[in-house]
Amino acid sequence: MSTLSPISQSFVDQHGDAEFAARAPWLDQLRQSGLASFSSQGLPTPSVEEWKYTNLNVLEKLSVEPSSIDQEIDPAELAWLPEDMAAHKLVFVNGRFHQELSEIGDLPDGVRILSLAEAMTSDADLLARHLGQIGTMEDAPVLALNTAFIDDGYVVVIEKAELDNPIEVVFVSQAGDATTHHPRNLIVAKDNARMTILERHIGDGSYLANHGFEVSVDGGSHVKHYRLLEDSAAGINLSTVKTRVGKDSTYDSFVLSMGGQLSRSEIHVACEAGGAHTNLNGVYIGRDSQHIDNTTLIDHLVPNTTSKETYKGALDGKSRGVFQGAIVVAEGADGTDGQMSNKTLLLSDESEIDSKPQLEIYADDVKCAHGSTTGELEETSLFYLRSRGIPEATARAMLVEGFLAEVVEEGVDEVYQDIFKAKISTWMEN
Amino acid sequence: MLEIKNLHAKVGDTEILKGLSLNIEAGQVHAIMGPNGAGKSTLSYVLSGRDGYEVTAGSVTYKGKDLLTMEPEVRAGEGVFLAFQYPVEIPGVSTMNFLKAAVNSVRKYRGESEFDAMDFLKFVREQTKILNINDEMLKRAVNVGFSGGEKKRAEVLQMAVLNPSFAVLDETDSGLDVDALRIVGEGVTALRSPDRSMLVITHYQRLLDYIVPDMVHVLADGKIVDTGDKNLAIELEKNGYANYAEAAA
Repeated sequence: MSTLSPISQSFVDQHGDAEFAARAPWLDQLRQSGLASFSSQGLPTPSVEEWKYTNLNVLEKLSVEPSSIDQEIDPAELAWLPEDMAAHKLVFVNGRFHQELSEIGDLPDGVRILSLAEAMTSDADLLARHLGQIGTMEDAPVLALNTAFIDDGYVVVIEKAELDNPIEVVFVSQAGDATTHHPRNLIVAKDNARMTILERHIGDGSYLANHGFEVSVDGGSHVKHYRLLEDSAAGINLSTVKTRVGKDSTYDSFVLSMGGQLSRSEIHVACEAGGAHTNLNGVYIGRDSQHIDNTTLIDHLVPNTTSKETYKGALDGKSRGVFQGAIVVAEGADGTDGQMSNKTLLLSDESEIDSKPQLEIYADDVKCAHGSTTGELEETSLFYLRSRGIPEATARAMLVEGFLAEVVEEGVDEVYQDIFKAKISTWMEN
Repeated sequence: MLEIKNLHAKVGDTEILKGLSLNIEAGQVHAIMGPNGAGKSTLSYVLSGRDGYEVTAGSVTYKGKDLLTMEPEVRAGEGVFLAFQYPVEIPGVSTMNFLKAAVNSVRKYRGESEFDAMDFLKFVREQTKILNINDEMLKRAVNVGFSGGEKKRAEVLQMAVLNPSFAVLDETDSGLDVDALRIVGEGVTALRSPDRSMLVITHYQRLLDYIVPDMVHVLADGKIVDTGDKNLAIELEKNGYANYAEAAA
């Protein structure tokens, strides 16, 4: 075992002192397995291929003191959905469920929405069945770290039911000083279930929010998982989503990354049965010295599964974007259709994108394509708009928004598109 | 309305316009015809202010002002419009939003009140009928997936709603079938008025059956080499540009 870096060691030390609210032998065991896995790996460094472009040494400037919940929160600051949009609302502050700010509301039969901490007392069997089913944490030290600290997060289980209203989740990182938290979230959909989750990440000050997600979509179900990452300028947001998609089921993911000094959204989707489909879409917009990483892996494990992935970004200032997208088609997984595209607009001379689309195909009869482009705004487009009287700055904003809006229109249900488009517009105006 | 004097312009190191002079009075429609490479499109881009077209000598005076020092959006505000030979696709921006942004920008420039969404819709619908443009087309992204005819109709619609004093139509007939040509030609003709001048740039005479010009000029090798009435266009259609090419050389 190699020697851990001081920051990795401090996480291990902190674990020894941690007092967890949710207790059960199986859960302690799961945490211990996460800790063991993390201890043997430590935080990833750029020498690891998957982390070549994203350096977590920024964490050295954070203290690893665990978060506590004691600051007042203005509910108005959390609002982000249209007022008339009814939603089942869960609010987490520094990773802990906040009862007063949440309103889960009435749920139809077959739907459970609650915090993980509560589920430990009310639905322990259900949790035990689904939590920690994501397989190995080898080569996933950040997820291992999350697992070591599992204590709260959201749990959504939906079976033979359709949820008309979206589930709204707000994660608030409200640390005055440096702090870390590791929410663990669970989504299970089976037997023709339908649901949409709208998730917003915001924060104040300097912190590490390290999210883990386990998603299972099976039996003709369809899960739409839309996330808005708006962390504070000093905030660090890491997330690892592990999704399994079963027969005739679909997992849609959309991520708008626009906050934080550093964010990394990592999504692994395994298409495990015929008819499994996933749409992974994302928009990243950065300025100043923001670092925004989107890393995805789609495993087509069996015949006749499909995926479609589009990520687009606009980077200004000295911001840096990372896109790593891998599609792996297993031996025998004939009939796979996987389409991936990544396009970036560089709005300044000093912005930068590292784009690495990757196909690994071990089957014969597949249809896969990937493409990556990076460029500036087209002079002809800009001239066209200006020749119609539109001032240059407005014309630039229209072109960038139009470029990004295409992904929102492709990846998000029409009723929710304006929420994300408005965020992009506001960003453009600042 | 517009006075071009001894205009010289180059693209990169190549001189394209070599002393072009032209005078267009208010309400007049002039046609410029000429062989490929004569400088027709360069003239349209110089007039609308595109980057990369360097004027090395001469002047363009529009309504008494120096047109060449104005930014493209200022020219639009002042009432200059270019209908593009190849209209540009703008993904992700709906035609309706684009039109509204454009119209409100020039209205603001002209000191007029901006339209709200409802008023604008009403205003646009007054113009779309004559051009056979439906609401579905307005919802689509600007020029994305438009047929050749749709693109040119959309250009004429933009011209109609921006209400220019001087419009340049650059090869508006290219890529149009007979029906589309008629719709576009009638649309443009409907926009003729005593306060509005037009410069119709074309390779062929056929568009001029619909937009009958007051004067016709022949552009060859960067200069006007002949001027006449609409009959000159008919003659050109018959005899081609061979004589002018020799004259220019």
